[in-house]
Amino acid sequence: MTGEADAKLRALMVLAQSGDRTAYRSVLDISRAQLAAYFRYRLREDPASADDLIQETLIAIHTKRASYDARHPFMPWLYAIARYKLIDHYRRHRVRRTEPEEAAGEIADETDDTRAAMARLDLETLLARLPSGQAEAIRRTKLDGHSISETAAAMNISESLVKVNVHRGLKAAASLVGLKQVDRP
Amino acid sequence: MTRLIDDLVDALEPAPVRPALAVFGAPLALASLLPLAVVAFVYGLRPDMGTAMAGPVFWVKLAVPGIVAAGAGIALARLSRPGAPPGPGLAIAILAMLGLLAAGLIGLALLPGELRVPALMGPSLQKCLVSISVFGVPFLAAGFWAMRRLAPVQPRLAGFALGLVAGGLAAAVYALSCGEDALAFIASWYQLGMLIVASAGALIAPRLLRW
Repeated sequence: MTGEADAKLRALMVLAQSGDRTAYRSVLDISRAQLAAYFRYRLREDPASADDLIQETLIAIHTKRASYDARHPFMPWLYAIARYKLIDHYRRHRVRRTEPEEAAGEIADETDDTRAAMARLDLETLLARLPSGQAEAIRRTKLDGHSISETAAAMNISESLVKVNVHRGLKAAASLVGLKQVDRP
Repeated sequence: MTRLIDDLVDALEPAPVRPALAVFGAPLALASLLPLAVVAFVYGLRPDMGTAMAGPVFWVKLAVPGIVAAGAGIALARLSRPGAPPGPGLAIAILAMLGLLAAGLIGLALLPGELRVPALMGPSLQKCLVSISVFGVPFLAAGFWAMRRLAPVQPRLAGFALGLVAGGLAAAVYALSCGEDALAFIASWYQLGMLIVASAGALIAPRLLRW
């Protein structure tokens, strides 16, 4: 990425911060391409996680868009967020790798594997391991029974972002408890 | 993925960039009311304020914590934004603390032997440590509340910087009531109090600053 290209992105991002949707779409499209290269290279063995991280980082760009200061170049901002999300992924992944293995022996003894897994599932502990925005969206819509629009108003974000957060959070939660392993005995 | 980008574009609303001073300033100012009230109504200002203000130590007690808070504040502004270069803020804060430590040690060395321990172990030692630590709590709370709206990518370091800001402000407020005037006392116990608050900040930051 040349200085000139970064200067263009910087200008687009400033427009996006003032609410210009066309500029914002360009920022997201260019970012998506950059992030795809970044995550797919680093997670060669795990393309599904790479795709998840591209999406998570795009959402982070959205929620934290006010944290970009146009006095600094754009790319270091983007990559700092990407790196933060990658480290977060490694940390969660390490937890996931150890816990289901320890639990696997116990679960095998139960008559109803799925129910046993559900019984073990401490929902709050699980939610605490998700990014806070996702956890809050799930808590409000799925546990407290609020509608999407009530949740959007309470969290001060748009309805589509609530939906995105719930979707992303449930997917992340499922992978945290190793739901795929339960589905396929 | 295109669907996600469509959703995000739909959800776009103007998001003006606010300088760090605007983000942290008001919450920290509000937080200062609590410790200031304790000093004004519970501890009382130091009774010898007039004489104290004529000497240098009173001002050192305000200035060094003030410089530490300002330096850490500069670092905090950088650490709240992804990709911003770290800048000289933390170095300023740490140099100020080391400078005071050196001054305290020199002051101690210049005293006759039998006066050294009383100078260091002033009568209000415990009160000083507890007060600075406790005064740091509202500043920490306000700072974390503000920082959650920003995007720290090094939460532990950001929490440490915020803790130094909180500890520095807490020490400066406490200085208004504290009657100790030995540099060695300030260098040890004020700074230990500030470091306690900074450590607390670093310790809890990763939990509070997830995004």
